[in-house]
Amino acid sequence: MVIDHDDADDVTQEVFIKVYKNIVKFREDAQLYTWIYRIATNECLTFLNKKKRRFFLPIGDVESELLGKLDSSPHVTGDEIEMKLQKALLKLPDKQRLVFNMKYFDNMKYDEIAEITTTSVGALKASYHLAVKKIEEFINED
Amino acid sequence: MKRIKLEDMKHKAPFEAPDGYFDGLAHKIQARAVEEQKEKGVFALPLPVKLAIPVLVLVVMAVIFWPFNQQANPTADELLAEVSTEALIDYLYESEVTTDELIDSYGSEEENEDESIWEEGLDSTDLDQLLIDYEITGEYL
Repeated sequence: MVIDHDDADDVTQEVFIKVYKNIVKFREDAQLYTWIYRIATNECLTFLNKKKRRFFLPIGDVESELLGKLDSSPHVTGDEIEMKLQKALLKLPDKQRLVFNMKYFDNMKYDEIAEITTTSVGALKASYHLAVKKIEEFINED
Repeated sequence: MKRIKLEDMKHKAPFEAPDGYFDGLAHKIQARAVEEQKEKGVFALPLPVKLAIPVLVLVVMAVIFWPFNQQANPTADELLAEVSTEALIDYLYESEVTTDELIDSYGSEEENEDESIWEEGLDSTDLDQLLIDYEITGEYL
């Protein structure tokens, strides 16, 4: 989600610090895995929102920054089509990208994603199919 | 050219963590948690308490300084109340104000009060009665 390894490292640490601090508040009506995943998704979206607010960057500039990192990071390895997919993903709104990543790369069920993102299954299905359509259009351009 | 479909692609993200990253991660998080716990220390108060402290300080300051402030700026009545009658007599004696002048100044206040009579509406009958009472004859009219 955050592309850069250092940013991913910061977010990961922040997630587990939050888990450590709030473990007493964890209610056993949800799985620990789901609870941690929810914290992680919140942290990710918060991190990206902060990035947009910092320096009053427009959304397009954040996208350019992430695209630059995608091209230059030594921790990003993929063939041409995989890179094109990642670039297409950066064109999506953050929450839609998050849903796409969970479904497409993590192979999660809609029910699980719904529990984590507190969104209805119907809305998630619509969001995912819209994302797939947009990505395929981008990949097949030229 | 064949159209690429997402379902035909490998569902694999191209991101890799550096070698050994996860080996040190647990230790790094643990160290950070301990550090944050230490930093909190005395400042680990709940937010409402933190907000209440400056308000409490202001209230205490107001309570402490309010009486002094009052004493620093006494009213005219308070100042006069502090002057003894003997001191007033001494002052009048030293300032050579005569008894007649004092009576006159008192009388002038009464006159001022009398003036208010003329400000009120008097009909001609009242005026005639006043002229008779004060024996004002035609030479003044």
